[in-house]
Amino acid sequence: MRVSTGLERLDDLMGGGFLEKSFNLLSGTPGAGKTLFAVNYLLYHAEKDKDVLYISLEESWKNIIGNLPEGLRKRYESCKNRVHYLDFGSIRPLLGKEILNIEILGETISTSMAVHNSKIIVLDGIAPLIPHFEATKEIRMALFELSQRIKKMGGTMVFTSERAGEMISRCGVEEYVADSVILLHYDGSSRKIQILKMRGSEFIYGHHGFKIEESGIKVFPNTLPEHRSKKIEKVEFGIKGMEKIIGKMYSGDIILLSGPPGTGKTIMAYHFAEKALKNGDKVLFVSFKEGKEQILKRARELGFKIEGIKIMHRNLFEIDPYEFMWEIYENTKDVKRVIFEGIGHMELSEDVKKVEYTLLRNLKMRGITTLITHTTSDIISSYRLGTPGITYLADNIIDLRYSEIGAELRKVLVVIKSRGLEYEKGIIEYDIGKRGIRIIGKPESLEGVISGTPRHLEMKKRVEKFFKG
Amino acid sequence: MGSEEDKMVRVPKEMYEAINDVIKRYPYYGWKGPSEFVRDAIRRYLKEINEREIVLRKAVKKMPNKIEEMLRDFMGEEEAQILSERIFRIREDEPEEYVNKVVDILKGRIGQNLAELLARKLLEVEK
Repeated sequence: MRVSTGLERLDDLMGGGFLEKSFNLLSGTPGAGKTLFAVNYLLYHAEKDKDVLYISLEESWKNIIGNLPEGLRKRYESCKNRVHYLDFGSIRPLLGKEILNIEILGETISTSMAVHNSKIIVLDGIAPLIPHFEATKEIRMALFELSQRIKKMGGTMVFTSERAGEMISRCGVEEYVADSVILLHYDGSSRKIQILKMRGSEFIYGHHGFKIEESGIKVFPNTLPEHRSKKIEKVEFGIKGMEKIIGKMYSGDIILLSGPPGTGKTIMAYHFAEKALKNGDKVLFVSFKEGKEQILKRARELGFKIEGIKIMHRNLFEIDPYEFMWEIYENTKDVKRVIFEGIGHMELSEDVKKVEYTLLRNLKMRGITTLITHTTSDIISSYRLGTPGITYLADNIIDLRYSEIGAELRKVLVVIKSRGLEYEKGIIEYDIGKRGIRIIGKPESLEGVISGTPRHLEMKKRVEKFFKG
Repeated sequence: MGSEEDKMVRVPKEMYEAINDVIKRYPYYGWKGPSEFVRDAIRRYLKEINEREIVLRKAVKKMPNKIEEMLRDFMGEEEAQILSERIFRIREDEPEEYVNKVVDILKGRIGQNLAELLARKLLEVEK
């Protein structure tokens, strides 16, 4: 039997939640959200009409309630008759250190559990207990005794400990007594949650996103639910003549458009979105550059009718990768196409790389066609393409670039990679007109187009002829 | 000199010798002999016990409120009220017995050890 952690997605990562009748360590640096996690655990069960018990050795319950985010406080108000507490910090001034005796603590907790029939318990902050033991083995023994007492009473307890340096817990022994260990990481800007131990069952390794919101805590696992689309459909890009160039495209394909600024990547994305809308499909447009109004205004000016698309505007430097991944997942449940617009060249953390891979793979499996526009930094003669993760996963890679033709900076595209064999291997010139992208054709009289400074083949032939005599 | 109503009490020889030593060492206290010393000591001790009992009884009277106040922070208003109402109903003048009855009420909610510690500490603080 499992007992929910109060966080559905965390339960999924732990094989259903805490083991029933278990002693579970929640460890983290100050400010990581240990108390909020613990309170959320209690409130989740209290809301399900279970009597729960909170034990504090330091901070008063009143303070904790007073400092809760408003949404959580409202949740508490709605079920507070089910929430019982023992605030040992409040009687410490009178009773002194005698109160921090493990025997007294255990007896008081188990008596209260029996009175209220509480099986869901939190012991928040064991730090005040520590000075009363001379050796760490004594702490381990005391915690073991307490855990046995709680388990015998049928309790599923979460106890919190502060991390010290690289250690998992304050004393370095708590994790050995615990049936499960959850670590909360906080570096001052982002939070992560990690399952380190789960006695007797499998769990999902690694860091997962973790966010404190008004109404509680949200977990963003580093994996997404996997469900495969059974139907594979042919996909049209939406630019006249583009299918011949790219070759066959199918739902679930990932198309990468890479090129310097001004080569029409966004306009190609408008074509791609408009085509889906014309087919009656839903589109999610994720922009890392412009807001909704700007996107729609620009599209309108070019004659595109894409008002029906769902638009998300996010700042690449501010988003939490796991939260973003889940946001995309939730927002693509009914869409057929996703556009990620405005990814630039930037150093990616390991978390971002993992998210990039997991998300794109998930979209692919779900049959959602993805278009990614990636801005390269070099204007002319760039051979660098998107981020390695994207290029590896992309089914179709289209490289857009400038070429100096006839004293003009003209635009050409070349298909670097295509899913099938039948695609245009040549270099294609295109233009941006009043109604978007217009494919012109191959600049056949030129060579070296891709270098940005092409030469006329006729001239080359003449030079060769001259030297050969 | 004593009267016929007086009663005899026995003290061990070592104590008797210690009393004689004190009488000789501190003549300015004015004890005429061991009997007067013992009478004086008993008078003082009885007075101290009476005073202590008065303090204890006062402490006992304050205890229900003190416990309610303490338990309100410790385990919430509702539970504190339930327990203090039961404590208010205790009819017992003897402090020791009173404390035992308080412990009996509290132990069902907070365990024997904490109940004893709490009740005795509250009495001690008043002393």
